Amino acid sequence: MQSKTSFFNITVYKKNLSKVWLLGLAYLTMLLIQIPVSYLLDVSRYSFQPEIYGLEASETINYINYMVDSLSVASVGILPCIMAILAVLLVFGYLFTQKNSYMIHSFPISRKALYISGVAAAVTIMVVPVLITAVVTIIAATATGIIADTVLVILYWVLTEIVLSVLFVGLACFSIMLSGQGVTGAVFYGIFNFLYMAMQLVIYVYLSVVGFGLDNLPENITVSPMCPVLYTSMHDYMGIMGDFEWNESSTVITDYVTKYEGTMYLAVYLAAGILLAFLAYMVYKRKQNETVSEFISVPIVKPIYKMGMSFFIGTFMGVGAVEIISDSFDWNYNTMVAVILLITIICEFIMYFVIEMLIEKTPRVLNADNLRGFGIFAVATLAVLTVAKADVLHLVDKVPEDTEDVKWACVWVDYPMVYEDPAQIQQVIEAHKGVIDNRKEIQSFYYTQDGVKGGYVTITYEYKDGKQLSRRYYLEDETAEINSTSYRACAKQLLDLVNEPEAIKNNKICPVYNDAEAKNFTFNTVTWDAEETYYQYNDFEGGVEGMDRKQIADAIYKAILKDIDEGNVGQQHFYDMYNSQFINTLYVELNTNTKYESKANVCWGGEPYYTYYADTMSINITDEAKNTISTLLELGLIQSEDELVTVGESNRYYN
Amino acid sequence: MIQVNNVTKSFNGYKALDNLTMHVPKGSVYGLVGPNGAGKSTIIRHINGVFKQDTGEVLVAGEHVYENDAVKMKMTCIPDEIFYFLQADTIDMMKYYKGLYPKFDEQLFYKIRECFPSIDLKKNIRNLSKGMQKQVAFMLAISSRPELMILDEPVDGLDPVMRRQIWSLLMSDVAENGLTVLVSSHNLRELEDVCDHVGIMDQGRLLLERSLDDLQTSITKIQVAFEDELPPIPSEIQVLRKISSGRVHTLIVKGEPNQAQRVIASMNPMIMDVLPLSLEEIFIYELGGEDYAVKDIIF
Repeated sequence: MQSKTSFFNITVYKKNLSKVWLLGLAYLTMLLIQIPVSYLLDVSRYSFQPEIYGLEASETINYINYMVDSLSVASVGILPCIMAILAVLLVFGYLFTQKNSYMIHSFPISRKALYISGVAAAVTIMVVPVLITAVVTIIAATATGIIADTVLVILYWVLTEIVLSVLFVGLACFSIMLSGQGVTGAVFYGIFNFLYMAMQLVIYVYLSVVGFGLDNLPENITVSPMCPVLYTSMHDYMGIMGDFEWNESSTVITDYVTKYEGTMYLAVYLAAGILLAFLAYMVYKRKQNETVSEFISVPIVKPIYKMGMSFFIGTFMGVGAVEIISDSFDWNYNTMVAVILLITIICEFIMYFVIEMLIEKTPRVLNADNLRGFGIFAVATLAVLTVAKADVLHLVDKVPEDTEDVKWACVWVDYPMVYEDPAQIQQVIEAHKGVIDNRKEIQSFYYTQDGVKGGYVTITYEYKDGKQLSRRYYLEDETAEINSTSYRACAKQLLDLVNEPEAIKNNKICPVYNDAEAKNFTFNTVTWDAEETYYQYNDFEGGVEGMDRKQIADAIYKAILKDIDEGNVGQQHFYDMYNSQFINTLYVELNTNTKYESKANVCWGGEPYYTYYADTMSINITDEAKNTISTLLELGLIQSEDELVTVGESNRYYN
Repeated sequence: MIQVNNVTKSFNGYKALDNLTMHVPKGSVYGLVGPNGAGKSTIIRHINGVFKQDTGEVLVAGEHVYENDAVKMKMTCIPDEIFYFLQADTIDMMKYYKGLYPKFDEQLFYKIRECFPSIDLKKNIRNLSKGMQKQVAFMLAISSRPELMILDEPVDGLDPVMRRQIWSLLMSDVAENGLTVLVSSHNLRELEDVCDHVGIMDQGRLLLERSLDDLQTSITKIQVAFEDELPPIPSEIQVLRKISSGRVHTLIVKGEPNQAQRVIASMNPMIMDVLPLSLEEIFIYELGGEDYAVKDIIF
């Protein structure tokens, strides 16, 4: 019977369910295997694995850990994402063939009722398996005695899955309503899932090539909530996480604390899903039945899609092609930009007319109207890319305005140097400004083959609000007289900053290096085996009369500190010093008596951490490290300097 | 029952319907004829609410039909290509129709089914022959108790016995319940037997719309033979076509038949026979020839 309400039809709903129930069954099977079955298998193996990370842990903690692991595996976006598009394609499959669409729309049921009954079936087939899985999981948790600790975790998982179901069904509906073809609708769905990051990537890639100092821009792309399938598939962003807590002696795990990641995005995703579903309905309501089987069935989307895809793919291909071929040509910066623009326009032309062919379903699209349209589009593209190159957003000139806003600054030539003191941060900013002021000259370094050695320097600032500003430059030897005085001055300013002995010790060793004790060391000599034609490494296992290994390590450590103070070790330059380093290995193991905050990881996005241990100090010494070398000689670790071989010397043997 | 007023519809610049106006009286069986590409299926899709017109209006029972469930409940449609759900058998489809049409008569469905004994109700409809699928479509459509039935090439694929069976069922419904039928077909011979109104379409327009009786009496075929050559025909008689074979001349004359008969009789022919025109002949003459070139359009 016809439902009393005009927005829902039970007959259509049931018919839709009959189309997708097998999909729901498959989804339920996967969820059951991933969660309760996996959990119970883990529990059944418990007697054989009573420990976690080698630490003693109670049965309950182990069980909770198993449960969270099982839920975490299942709580990913990829499965609901795939299920949603399949369910929506099955439910609204009638929209992609004329016969079916015409017949369904001739029945006495409004589009509103057709749509809502369809969406309801798609959501049902995604939510019911989640609920059944949750019930089975709760039974399993109850049976194993951890229900009190895990009920909230299970409910959070249910909530997450329901929200993701709504989000992906909404997105899937919106995607398929834009097209008259099922496959194209699915492709649109894929595009929308990655659209934000894809656009960001193209813009960043273009700016990284044409913008001064921006070539590390693409590396700053992080997974965005605007890419739901990626964002929700990563546990760090969304889902259930757990942390162990252990006793002071770190022998027993005492507790397991669950964390609910991405809670703030649940509401956003739910709202987005509902909004997308509503927009999809608005599109459906206005959709003309005669557009069935058309590539794009909404007129306003045709130019947006055609121009958007042409612009982004054209630009990406333009930049990519130049990156590939530029090594074969001696182009300067301006020539390179011109070639990028030219190839971009050519690629855009191809894309523009290929998409036009798909839209119009004919290869005959090279007519005056389309050519005129492309001409206008090409001019607009050139204008946009030229404006972007002109740095209207001041990305190139940007440095922190106030040191008070900056948490730390990092200059990375050979290794990262982190500065937290406002005065030092100011020095970094000044040196950075010097680089920007010499932009024109520095920009030419990469393209001109002037024979001067060069390398990259990365300058990164982290603001107190957590945002980062990072720039990378290709700089040349600060002593090369071919370069201007102004450039050499700014390069020297930057190197003076990173080569300051105190800064080297703080960063290369640790901030409490004076408090560090050398515990042990590793050193080897090398001898060339002419028969086997390779270097044989000989670890120093012996001792020194009257000294234990700790004392030897301490003597080496003091020599290294002296070399750093005298500017013999840890010095950085804008060119590769690899050839002058010894291939001999020298490690000194250090401990500190006071806990300190290590910033060793912050430059590549890691968090600072507190430790008593300085990282094992690996020192790449050169023949300039005269104090260290003489100590090695005095202690008898080497008999002559010939036992120290540089990379450059070794290469001569190998070659 | 159906009122189409000045409807225009274009597809990518091609005008499929050009200011079309047509009227289907309640309780009539209206045959819509026209050459391929005339716009018959397009106007049918407007009438059953599938397409939305660019301009004009399409009314069924006095109401706009597009996205109007209440009106659509009064009508069923059998398109030239019928859609059935994947894996559905006849019973499944019956339940679906029952859920959509409040007046669906299950008893009637099983009663009609007796007329189609070869149909296995439990067999997947997509595995039935094309003719059987059409029979199922009629079973479902008639059982929905519509006031209007729209048929697009309805009996294609049916054997002669089954065609007669179906028309008989429809005609009973027309006679007993006042069902209105709009039927589009190329089989003019068949339409002639069942229709009481005819509309002829070409190039998105309705060239002619009239009751079949009027139509058949507005054009006359007169066969005459004179002793000598055919004398000049008075201008008061509009001759659409003249075919001569020896002394025998066949004249297709438009206008009131008795008047034409009187005038030609006054010319003292040796023989004169007045013959009725079939719908097929009318269709051909209206469109100006077998090639459907519109040369002698009379309206």
